[in-house]
Order: sequence, then C-alpha cells, then structure tokens
Amino acid sequence: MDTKQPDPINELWVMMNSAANQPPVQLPDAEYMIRKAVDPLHKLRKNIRINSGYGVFFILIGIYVMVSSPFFWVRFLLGIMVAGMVANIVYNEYLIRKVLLTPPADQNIRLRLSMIHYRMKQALRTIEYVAIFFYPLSITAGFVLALADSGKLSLIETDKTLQAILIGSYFVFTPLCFFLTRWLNKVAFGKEVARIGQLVKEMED
Amino acid sequence: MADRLLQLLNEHRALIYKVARLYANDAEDQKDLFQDILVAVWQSWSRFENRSQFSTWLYRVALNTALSWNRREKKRQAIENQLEWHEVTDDPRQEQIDLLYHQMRRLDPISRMLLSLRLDGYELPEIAEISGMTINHVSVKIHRAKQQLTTWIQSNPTQ
Repeated sequence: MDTKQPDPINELWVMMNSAANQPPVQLPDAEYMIRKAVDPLHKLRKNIRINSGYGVFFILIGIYVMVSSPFFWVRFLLGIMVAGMVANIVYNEYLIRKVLLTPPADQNIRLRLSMIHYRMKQALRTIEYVAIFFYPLSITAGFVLALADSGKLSLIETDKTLQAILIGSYFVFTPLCFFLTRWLNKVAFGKEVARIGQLVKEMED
Repeated sequence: MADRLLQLLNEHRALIYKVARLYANDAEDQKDLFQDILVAVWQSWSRFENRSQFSTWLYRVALNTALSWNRREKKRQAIENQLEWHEVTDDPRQEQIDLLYHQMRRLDPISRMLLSLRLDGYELPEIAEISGMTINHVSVKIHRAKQQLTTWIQSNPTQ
C-alpha cells in the first residue's frame, strides 16, 4: 500500500479501502458466472448471427423458387443470389470466429482496447462493403421474381425501358442502401466505437 | 480449481466492488459491472499463471472490463436475483467515501484508472505495464488527476 506523503486524497482513499473491505455484496454461485460475458464485440457478433439467420431463411426461399420455377433466368439469377448469400454466411462465420474475438481481459489495457476498437471498425467496414455487392443482386432478383410472377420474364431481354429502369435502380439504390447500412451501423455501434477510440487515443499521447 | 478461484474472489471482492463503484454511477449499474467483472475473471482464470500477484491480475481484469463496459438497460433482471447487494447506511464515514467516489467518477476513465492504481500503492513502472502507457505519460496524467481531484474535493466538500 502507498505510504508516501499524507494528503487528503490518500487519507480518503485509505478510508474508502477500509470501508470496502466489507463490501456489501456476496458472490453469486459458480454456475451463474459461467454464462457468457457481454462486451461490445459480443453485441456485434450477435447482430451478425441474426444476419446469418435471415440469410438462411432467404436461401431456403430462393432454393424453393429455383426448384419450382420453369424459367432459366429465374433459376440463374436466384442461383447467383443464393451463392452470394452462402458466401455471406461463410464470411459472417469468419468474422465471428477470427475477427470479432474478445481479447483476453488480463492483458495490457491499451492493447486490449486497441484490439476491440480495431476489430469493431474492421467488421463494420467489411459489412458495409459486402452490402455493395448484395444490393444489385437483390434488386435483380426482385425484378426477375416480379416479372416471372406476372409471366413477362422475356421482357427483361427485349424491353429497353425495363432494362434502363433495372440499371438505373442499381445506380440509385446501391449507394442509397450502402449509406443506409453505414448509418445503421453508426446508430448501433458508432457511439461505442468512438468512445473506445477516444480512450485509446488518450492512452497513446 | 473453481473452488480456489471462488475463494480468491471472495477474499478480493472488495477490489471488484471498488472498481464497480468507480466506473458505474448508480447501484444498479454497479451490480451490472460487478457481475461482468466476475464473468471476465472466470473466463480469464485459465490464463492466470501465478507470475503476478492475484490482486494485480484481478485489478487488470477488472479495469479492462470496466473500460470496455457499456451501460445496458435490459440485462438487469438476472443480476438482481443473483447478487446479494446491500446499501451501506450506518457507516459514519459513508458521506466522505461517497464524496470520493463521486469526485473520482468526474475524472476521465483513463485518469481514474491510473489514479486508483497509484493510490493503491502501485509504482509508476507497474502502472505503465498494466495500462500499456509510457511511464512519463502515466506520471503526467496521475499528477493532473490528483490536482483536479484535490481541487474538486476542497471546493465542494459536502457535495
């Protein structure tokens, strides 16, 4: 214990320590403590798992429509979409298992906070960029399904206006959805990323 | 192994309680953080290799958890049923102790961490090692934090 110059802060601290020697709390049982800790990366892992869950749902629907549809273009485009979604789920697993691991709590504090900060930023950035590839696929699939449903799928090869709308929708909705993803990430995790980034910065000066 | 850890945690629960009070404002959040620290200790226990004192290792885990801890709204019901937590009311020193906790929480989280380590008797090189900061930086921040805290406590002793 520190026995250097007596000053009001030290005296108060000693008093506080002696009072804290009988903390007004009892430990819970061991079984309770085994449950998983919640940390900023845990929240992100959970969100990514939910995203994968939706992915599985849409893959199953996609496969069902592929199998039941007689149209080549429907099968082809849905095939690409399903493959993309499978790739997304695989990538999500990579993020959860390799990138978003919670660093051990007993290492040096600056290093641990830096790792949490870097991993959160890395995961959020890649989620945003992966989204860029998905929106055109989703838009195309939506067009194809709607056309197939109304029995006018051949228009996609012949109708110039429809083709222009499809291409135009890529240019409008892809960046729009990209920035929407970015904004949603910011709403969900922005404060936490900024807070941890600020702590790291203060420790690095 | 679990028995030994539980015994150590019982012996050192005052330290966890102190860190929880330093980093969380109200009793509910303090319970929440206290419990998260216990879980982090439990998860890191296999890495404890007796190279440092248990109290130093525990301090590091507790501070790491406190700094990355984020106040949550939803997760309370489970904790309330598990943690036996009493408000201290009959200690004559309580007002002064509460004042110190209150003023410490006004410091930024890094200064709070460094100053509490220092006040608990850790030397500057040890604090630098625990925090991952340079000794010079640690020294400057502790000096400023202590000055600030002294000013606050002297200027507003009953708050």
